[in-house]
Amino acid sequence: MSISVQTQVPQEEIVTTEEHEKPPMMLFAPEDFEKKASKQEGENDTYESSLNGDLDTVPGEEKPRQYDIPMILPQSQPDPRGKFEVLQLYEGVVLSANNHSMWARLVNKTNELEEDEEAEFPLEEISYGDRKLIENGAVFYWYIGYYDSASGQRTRESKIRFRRLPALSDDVIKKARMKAEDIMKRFSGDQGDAFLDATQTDPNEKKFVKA
Amino acid sequence: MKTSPELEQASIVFLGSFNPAIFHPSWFAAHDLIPCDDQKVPKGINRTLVLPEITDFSTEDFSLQVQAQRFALRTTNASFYESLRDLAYSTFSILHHTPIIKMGLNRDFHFRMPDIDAWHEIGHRLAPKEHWKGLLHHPGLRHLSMEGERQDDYKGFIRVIVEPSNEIKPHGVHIGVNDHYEVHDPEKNKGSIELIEILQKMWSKSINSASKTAQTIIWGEEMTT
Repeated sequence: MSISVQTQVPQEEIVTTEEHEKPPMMLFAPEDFEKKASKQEGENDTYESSLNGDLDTVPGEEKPRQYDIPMILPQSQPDPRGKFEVLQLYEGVVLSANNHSMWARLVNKTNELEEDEEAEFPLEEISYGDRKLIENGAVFYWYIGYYDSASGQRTRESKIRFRRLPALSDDVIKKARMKAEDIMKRFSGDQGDAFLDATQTDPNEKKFVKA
Repeated sequence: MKTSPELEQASIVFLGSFNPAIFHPSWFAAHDLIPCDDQKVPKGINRTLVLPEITDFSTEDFSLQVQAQRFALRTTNASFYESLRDLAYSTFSILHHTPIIKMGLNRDFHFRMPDIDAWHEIGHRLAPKEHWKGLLHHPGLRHLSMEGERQDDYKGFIRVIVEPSNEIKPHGVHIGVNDHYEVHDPEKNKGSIELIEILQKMWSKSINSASKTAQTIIWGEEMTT
């Protein structure tokens, strides 16, 4: 598969955050339009579509809004092997782990009214690339749904993906600690200081994002 | 019978000033943002194009294209939506001095309508033909773009397009939702933090809202505000 690369892209042309790059091909309405349109594909592109035009207005604007012309190069596509339809999504937090399994608290993101649950996951359920991310407090997503293969076969699947977030900077940690101290002082007075003293962390610990 | 979209896509687009060559798969692997082996060699990269002017690569879960003024991350895998946000957020948490002034949280849906009548009904409902009587012969809806003001405190707009689908034939309908944000003051904007914090806060809400919008347009119920 080849891809065209345009290296000299005028700056003023790349100004849309939309991702709609394909021109329409068919028309709604008269019953025979679908057939006609597919025959006439590419023949009627003599009018700039409203995406590029200058006639649209938005409420509160007296003057028509000047839309900039989108300039979007063809982008490679993710591997389109099939389609995953999400039935249930949980956000999990690792509570403990050993060489064989991990325990996690699960929040139902599909129905947040449901109570949190706890579950044990065999490590075999976790992809190899994500196993090194398992530690107390690590956050993951657990998707349950249907996978429709390109050939049309439907299977029920479960996917676990760990969050991949960068290590926190010292500045961020410092600000979070100051904020926590402030909150503790407001609610606990002197007891808050004692609590903070007791929870001072080892400065050499790993600074990965926790739940 | 009401069905879910046959094809879906979510994408995050940033506009600003980027150095495309930075966004090599190895850079993401070095920061543990994508799966990699013990030597930090990224896994599952299908194709990689990295030039000073453009970076373009894809995995089975997402694709990325970066140009000098545009960063676009997309996925068609619904089990990667949350991870797509994490990937964008993490990238610009690390590269937080990168100036980003606009952000689009985009969804695309391609529905297959049950028959041609249901397909036409959408065009008739969204663009009644009686207004075109005497002006056009056999008028039809080829592309509809509607834009609304934000109902939150952010700067931007929400734009929805409806058009016949190029991907689903016959009787396919494409609905695109562009949830667009801009920095409050472009002159004073010094990096990416303002918009990626919005991304972190609004992503889940945005993709759910877009899904509701698309379903409402297709099936004509529960009109969203």
